[in-house]
Amino acid sequence: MTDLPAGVMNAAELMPLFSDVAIPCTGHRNMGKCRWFGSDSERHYLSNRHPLFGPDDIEYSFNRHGYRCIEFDERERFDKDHLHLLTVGESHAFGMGLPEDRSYGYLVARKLQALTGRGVQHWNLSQGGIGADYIARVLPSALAVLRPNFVILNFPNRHRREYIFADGNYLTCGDGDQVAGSVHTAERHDSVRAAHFEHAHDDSNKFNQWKLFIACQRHLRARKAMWVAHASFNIPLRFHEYIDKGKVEPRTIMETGKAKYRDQPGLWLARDGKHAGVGPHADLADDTSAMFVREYAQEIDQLAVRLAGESSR
Amino acid sequence: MPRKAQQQRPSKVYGLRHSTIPHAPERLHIGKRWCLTDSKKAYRRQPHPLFGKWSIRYSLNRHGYRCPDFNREVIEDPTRFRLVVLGGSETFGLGLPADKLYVNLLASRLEEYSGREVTAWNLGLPMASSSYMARMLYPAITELRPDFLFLSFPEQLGYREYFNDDDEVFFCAPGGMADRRSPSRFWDPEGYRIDRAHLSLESQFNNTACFYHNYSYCEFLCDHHGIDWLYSVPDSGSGALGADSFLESKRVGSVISQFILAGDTESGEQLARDFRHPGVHPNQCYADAVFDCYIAKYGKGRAE
Repeated sequence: MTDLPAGVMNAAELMPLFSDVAIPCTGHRNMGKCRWFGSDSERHYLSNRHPLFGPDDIEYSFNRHGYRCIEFDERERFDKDHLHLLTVGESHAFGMGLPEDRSYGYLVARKLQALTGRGVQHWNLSQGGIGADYIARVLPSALAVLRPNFVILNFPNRHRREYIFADGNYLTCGDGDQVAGSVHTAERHDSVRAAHFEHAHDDSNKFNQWKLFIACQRHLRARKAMWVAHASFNIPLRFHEYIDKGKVEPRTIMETGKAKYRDQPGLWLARDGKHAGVGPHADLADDTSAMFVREYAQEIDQLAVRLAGESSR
Repeated sequence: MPRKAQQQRPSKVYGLRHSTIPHAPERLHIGKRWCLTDSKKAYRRQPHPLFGKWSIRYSLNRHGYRCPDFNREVIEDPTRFRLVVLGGSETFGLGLPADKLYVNLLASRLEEYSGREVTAWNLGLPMASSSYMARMLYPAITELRPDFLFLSFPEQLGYREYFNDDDEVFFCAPGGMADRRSPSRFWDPEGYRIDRAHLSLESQFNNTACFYHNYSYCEFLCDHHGIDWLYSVPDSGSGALGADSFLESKRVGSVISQFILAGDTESGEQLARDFRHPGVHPNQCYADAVFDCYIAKYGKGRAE
């Protein structure tokens, strides 16, 4: 990693959990802008040059809270007829190794803009290396503060579990060496990973993921948001009755275009060589906007009519 | 066990993959007369004014719960009223005889009110957590088909459950408790390691997040199945329409420990035999509070 999070957090920055007036900060808060971030490192680029993107083509711009979007204060400045799209997910949704305007969340916002004839602001609250715990933790606050019309959730694999410490910092551990979060010290990494693997149990991880998915559904229904989700997990048959299956795409972004972009590595992979590139993002944006249209055709029409009425008044 | 092999083998953790009511964890060591904090040693040190050595018997059903067996005839009998309660040690009734327990007192009141025979299935266990309740909820709803489900979330949020490679269930208590028992490093090295890992990851943030996710899951499932249900939780969250809101219409306004009268130490009515858990008086008040809330919310409801 070339750019580590700016520093450890204190409890006041994370608390209160599930606040309806503030979204919790991430480890990348106060980071501003940077050219290299996470797995998209200069070192990797120098040994594996990308056919499409050069060193100056990508800028990671973080808001004060550490998310790759504009400041949350800006939400109140938008007109009433402006629409809002919220994306909460992992590194693909974050747009790792891609310019912000080539990430699928941004592209879906543009498609919804064309569809509704209204401006659509994209709020990208995704982070690299996160798990379902992060999504379920951030989503309630994001729904309350940003009041989005559309929501995209991008669930990563089930092995990732998030641990929040008494001092307000957090770490997410996966099934390998991967550790992501707000604090990066070898001592803490080792102790958390050891404890994480002591508790690791596949059924427990699966159940945790279904449980959090259902909890997210509860929050989304309560806020009446139009939502779709990308989730790579197989939901057991007995849980199907709880899930709006039409709104869940059970494939990951990397599965969608592997054959299609076999001969076009520049489109297939992002600048870091690990994450999805421009091609899969564009395809996923098409699929996602089609899911919105399929699942919410009536609601989108009603929304357009209501906004037209309000603006004419 | 290698991770890949672990993922491919069939699981024995009932409640996660299976719909059947899982057996209570065998590691809890619930004795016939003594259990965890309600120990013979503690009793000798401080005898209880109301309950003697022989006053309490922990009679468990075939699945290890302190209630009647889960008989198919009872579940399918339309004339019976089925009450299911999920909770922690207060619901299990640590240090109390079964007839003084709020679950059974609530069942008596429901029976009196409805005129129907009530079967009370108490799925409360000592050291149970909100994660345990979430895991048990699906089999409890689908297998026992309750007419009234009550979720009594533990007042301490730091309890957790974990599983090992052999699919045994471990319950861990929050750190910093006065009567906390750690597994022996020599007699139970695995339990010791899991407990140490639990303590190293424990924090107020984790507890809050874990509890709130479990609550949201339980709320969704209960509403989805359209059953009559109520719950009680300690005071956490905004309680309003905030991001951490609770469903106020289904919430019993108080938790059981609020009924313990601080000044009354003589009568022995306030605390159970272990002097840690709620006694006869709080259980009676709590049963009344839950009953009143049930009547206010559902009227005769399914009891009719």
